[in-house]
Amino acid sequence: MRDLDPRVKLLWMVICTTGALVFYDPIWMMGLACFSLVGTLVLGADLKSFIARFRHFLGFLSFVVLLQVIFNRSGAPVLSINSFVLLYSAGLNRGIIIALRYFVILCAASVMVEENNRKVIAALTQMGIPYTFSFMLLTALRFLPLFRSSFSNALVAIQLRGVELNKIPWNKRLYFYSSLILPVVADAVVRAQQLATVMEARGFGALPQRTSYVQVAMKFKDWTFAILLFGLCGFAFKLYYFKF
Amino acid sequence: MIALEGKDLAFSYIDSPVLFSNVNIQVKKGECVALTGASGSGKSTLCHILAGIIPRSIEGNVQGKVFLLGDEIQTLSLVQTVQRVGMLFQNPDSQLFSPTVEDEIAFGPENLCLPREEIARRIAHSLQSVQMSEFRQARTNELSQGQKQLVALAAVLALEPKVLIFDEALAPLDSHHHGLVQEIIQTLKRRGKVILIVEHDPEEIKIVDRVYELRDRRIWEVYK
Repeated sequence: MRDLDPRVKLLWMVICTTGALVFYDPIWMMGLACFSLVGTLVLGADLKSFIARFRHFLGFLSFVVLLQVIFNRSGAPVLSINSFVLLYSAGLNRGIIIALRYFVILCAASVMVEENNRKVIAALTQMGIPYTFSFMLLTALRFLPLFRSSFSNALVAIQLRGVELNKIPWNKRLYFYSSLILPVVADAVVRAQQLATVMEARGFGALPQRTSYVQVAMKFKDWTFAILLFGLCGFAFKLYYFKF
Repeated sequence: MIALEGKDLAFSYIDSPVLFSNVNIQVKKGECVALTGASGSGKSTLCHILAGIIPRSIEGNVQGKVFLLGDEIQTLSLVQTVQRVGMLFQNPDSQLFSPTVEDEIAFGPENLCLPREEIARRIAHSLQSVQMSEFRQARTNELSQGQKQLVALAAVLALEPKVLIFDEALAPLDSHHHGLVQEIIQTLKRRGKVILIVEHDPEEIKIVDRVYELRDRRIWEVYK
């Protein structure tokens, strides 16, 4: 399944993320999360990288869920101390839904992160999407890890000057972080310019069309998987909205 | 025959003082010429002008003319330019953007709309030229700096340009890769390629025929 056509993987990603945005029922979201996780592993995401990515994300996710749980104060009380209600059923539901929504999106993204960029570009171009747009999209995605490495380099540089970030209060730490934004953005702009120069020096954008050495073609199992996905998606949405 | 010529070149970046003026440089067919000078003297900028990158990709005020294999560079299309002149930059990391070596080398010929068979031939040939054939399917982010620079050189060679400009491209290399690139340059020179190498210390490059130096905003021809 790892060698499925990138277009089928894109379709799977679109279906999962659409479901994550449409479903408002925790049971349905749980089902979708399981489906996404299985799909992620079957379609070729590396489990170790996925767990590492999820760990990075866990702090932010907990914060978002906590906000939903605390500030959504409707429904039946679930947990209370004396007369003060800490947790309402609607808040709990909302928290679970938000957590699972982000989980599904992360699963879907993990598959595309592992996919060969050039195959994705070839697939998108064969679908009629202009090649400049495809390259623009993937180049932007490539800059995210570069941006992160620039930021961590700048943090190391600050710490080498004697600032121990772990030992200073949060407000001062935020001040240091904010002072890093300008050099990190400037570094990203310089890298983007260098990349654009290199690409143009190799003839990028010289002609309205370009050939693709990498060719992707929908095989029998790609079509089968795509049709199954469409069928499953249609069935799930009908069941969710019309309950038959 | 003069393959690459800069005539009365002067340059300044937007809202900046003149970097250099009255620059005349000529490189003949089959010749290997070095360009040297202190940091900030404008060596890389001059290379960018000679390769047509300035003013096409980078803004600036250019005066004078550049002739590439007899034609003024301004009159050439991007396709014609990249088939005549290729440039290797200093930082290998900023030159590689594809997941595998094969994809990286195919990028240039794909832009020229060459048939797939021709792209395959060029990938094999350029990898052979830089002695990296066994790395064809390797991931670019797993290569050493020296190997990355060789792949970047192969990517430039895949466009089969007549003129090659090395913008301090040997600087980040260890002694093994430095020697290897010099060997490759020598082979390319024997094949009739025109080579311009930017280096702080041209004595390190044993294969150059002549040396130009950018100093005091002027260019001087110095003899080895």
